[in-house]
Amino acid sequence: MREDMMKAIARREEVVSGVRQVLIEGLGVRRAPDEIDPDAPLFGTGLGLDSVDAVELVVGLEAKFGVHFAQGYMHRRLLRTVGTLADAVIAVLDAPRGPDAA
Amino acid sequence: MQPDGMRAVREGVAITRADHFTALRLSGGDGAWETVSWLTSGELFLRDGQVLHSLWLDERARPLADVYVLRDDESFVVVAESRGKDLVAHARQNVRGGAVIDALGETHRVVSLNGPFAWELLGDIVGPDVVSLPYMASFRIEGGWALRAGKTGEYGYDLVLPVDRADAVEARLRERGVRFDLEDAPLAVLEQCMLENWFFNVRREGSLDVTPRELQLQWRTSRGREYLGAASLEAQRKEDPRQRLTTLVPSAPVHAGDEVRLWGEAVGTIANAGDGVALALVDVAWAHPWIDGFAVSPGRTPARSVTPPLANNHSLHVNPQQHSYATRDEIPFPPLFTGLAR
Repeated sequence: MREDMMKAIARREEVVSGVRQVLIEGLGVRRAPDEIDPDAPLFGTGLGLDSVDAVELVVGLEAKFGVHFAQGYMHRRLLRTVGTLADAVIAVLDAPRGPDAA
Repeated sequence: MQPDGMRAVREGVAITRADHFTALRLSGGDGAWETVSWLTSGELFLRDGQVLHSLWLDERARPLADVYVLRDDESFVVVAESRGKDLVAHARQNVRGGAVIDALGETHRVVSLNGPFAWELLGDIVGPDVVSLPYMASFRIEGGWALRAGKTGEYGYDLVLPVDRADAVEARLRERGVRFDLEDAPLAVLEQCMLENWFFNVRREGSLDVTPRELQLQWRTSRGREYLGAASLEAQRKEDPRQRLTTLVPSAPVHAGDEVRLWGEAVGTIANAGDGVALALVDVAWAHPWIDGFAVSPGRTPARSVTPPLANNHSLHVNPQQHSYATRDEIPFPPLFTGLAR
């Protein structure tokens, strides 16, 4: 059980790292990766993204992780923090029948 | 059963006499600007009407206050929640360039509105333009200032009102509030919402011996400017943080100070606890969501780490251009809490 949890944590850290990379390289967030805390808000006063960035963010995540988010899947609740984005990516990667199952 | 005011914050509008805020005004030209510069944010340029959400730190980079600052012509208005320190005295000790600091505690009072329809009630008082006011913006009201801010995850407005007009404004809000089923929400209710929605509480987790790194508040700090605590923060950045604030959902009540264990080892401490949710400072190796198996002592209460925010706030689903409190039953709100044992 402990070993399974360690693997899950390692995988999540990899996804979080990828999300940070999309934010920095794709959306121009001017922060070092370790300054982007997992639960920092993305929009408004947080990392300063806006509604236009949201579209680029989704496209960037799809390219980075080779996934496709079904229409309407990336609703506002999942676009709140790096952590919620990581949850969304992992859910789609783990979906047995593609994104519609997520 | 929900405490008084909770339903209103989550589903309608709640009003709070927000005595937990300290307000002060900085004036005096360049001195006021220089004094504001002890806030931690990187982007300090403020237009009229814009609100900045920032921090005051002490020399060791521990938070003193969670701060909103807005520009009012040539002066700045600071509206802050603190961990008990006398912020006015602190500001005066650190004043720069001959800035003048006016404590607004004697002359002004803060009234807060929170809830998915707070915009509609305030709009009844000040006009429909409030609907288009973006988050972290302000406007003049009755000789004071209204900030669109809030820390409940719902629409929120903090009204900093001159005392001679505050009663009249509050009376109008309460009168118009009848058709919104307006309720009073005490600070405890707002703090529960802060917990559920991952808003920093300087009186709880902020009162510990921690810095923005452990608190996941690095987004509110700059690395390119000097401010109180900046040198300490920079020195700490040379090493990995030991712990990180993590959201737990315990199966029974837990309390601040309780030990958090995982597989028999002590890995952290509860920093803030509310109804069905807690924040813990957890060793970074285990400061991740979706770990089952935490146990909070005494009592070894099982707890699971989760990704905040926990609430799927109604405000995320309310469009002021289309909706109103009167027709709220037509809005297809999803469950407020999804996938959690609540």
